[in-house]
Amino acid sequence: MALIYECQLNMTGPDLLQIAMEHSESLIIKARSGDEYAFNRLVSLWYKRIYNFCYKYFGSHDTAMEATQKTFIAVHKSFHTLQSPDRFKSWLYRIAHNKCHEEERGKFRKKIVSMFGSDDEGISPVIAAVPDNVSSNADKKMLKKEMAELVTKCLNELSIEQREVVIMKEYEGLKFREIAEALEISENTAKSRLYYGLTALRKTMTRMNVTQETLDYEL
Amino acid sequence: MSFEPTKEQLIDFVYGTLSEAERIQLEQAMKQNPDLKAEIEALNQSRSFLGNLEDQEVLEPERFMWELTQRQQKNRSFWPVIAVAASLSLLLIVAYATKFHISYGSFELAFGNSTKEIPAQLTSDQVQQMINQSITTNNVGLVAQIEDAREDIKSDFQAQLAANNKLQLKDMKRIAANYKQLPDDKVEAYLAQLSETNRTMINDFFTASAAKQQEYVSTILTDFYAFVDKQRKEDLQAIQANFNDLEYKNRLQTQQTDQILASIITTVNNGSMGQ
Repeated sequence: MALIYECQLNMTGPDLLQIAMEHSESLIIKARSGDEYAFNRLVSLWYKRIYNFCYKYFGSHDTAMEATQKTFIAVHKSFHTLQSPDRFKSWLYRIAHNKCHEEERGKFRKKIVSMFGSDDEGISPVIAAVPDNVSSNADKKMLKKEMAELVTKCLNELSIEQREVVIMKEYEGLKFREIAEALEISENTAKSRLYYGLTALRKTMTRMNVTQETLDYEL
Repeated sequence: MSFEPTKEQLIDFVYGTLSEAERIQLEQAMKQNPDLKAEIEALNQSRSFLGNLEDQEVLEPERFMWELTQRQQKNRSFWPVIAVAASLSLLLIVAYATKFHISYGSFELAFGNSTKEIPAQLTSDQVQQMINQSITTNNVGLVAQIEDAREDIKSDFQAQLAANNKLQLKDMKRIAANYKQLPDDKVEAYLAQLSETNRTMINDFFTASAAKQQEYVSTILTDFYAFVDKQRKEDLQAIQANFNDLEYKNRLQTQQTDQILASIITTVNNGSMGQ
């Protein structure tokens, strides 16, 4: 008991959440057999991760919320198709990836319908250089926010195939095997797409004057 | 012969999943080949750049299953919903017509007005506050209605008085015309009769006006009772809903805690077994 207490003291919130996510086999089995509480618990555990995957995919809160909702509805509907609880993570991300594709197609159709007034404002080099004296917290916050916006824009410049692999690996921490299962491709293809994604990102960074100095700067 | 890594090997190196032998080989190749070194640095820079985008906080829907059910119901056949709605409406109409009600405390089902007291579920202060508020609101309406009633009575009274005056004027004229021909005792008797008639008429008028006022007040009080009763029922329903919500959240919280504790125990057990 003392050991458990010590563990609780040493662990932060996200660590606990991560552990709970990694040890949710019993929940998955219960949810698959129709236990609504277990399903709700699974939604609680994975909602933030799937939302963030969708958010980085689209760079838009509303679309990400919609895709996340549809993902969990699809999970509920097709839980019986999950063969093994071990494959839950890649299976979940495969559904999320499919729902993001559906939303993307929907967005494309909407863009064709409304030929005028495109949402794309173009990419402006927000951070050409780090200001000489960024001392105040407000300045730091502003710079951090601008950097985050810039990353979102750069991600949106990648092809969908590259973007989803980059997000799954960099932000969702999936193994290459899991990415391959989620996207139904080979592990080598996943690595190859990641390589081209990171290279394309580097080119966009150069185009936007994001230098090593900018990256090294203590935010 | 120089070592030329594939794209997949470069990625494995950057993410630390390259085998030990290949890693040593690649590190040696980097020392000899500045282009390779620059390529790997570029990949690392891209990763470092991506690190500037943090996770967004998001609130998961409290009742995901509820929403799910709502969405699923949209896809189902429409007729069962109509059938259920019609049945419920019918039940409500019957319940309303028979004044059917359910009391909780000691469980009671009743038709008509229940004489049994329902135990209070609110604090006395809250009830007092609600009553005060209702009384204040109602008083405003009450004063306005009494004012209207007064106006009505006043106008009726004035109309009656005018009519009466007209009659009296006619009588006075007739009396004045015949005054010289009438003896004094007859005049006095007539005036006494007139006075008596007036007294009776005023008496009747005030009796009628009091009855009317009583009727007004009675109607207002009945309305007020119905209003307070309705308010109380709505408040009880709201409190019940809040309790249900609280219970649901508690169950979720308990399950979450159990899950985390189970996970920690599993982790600790696995760790101790590994040692």
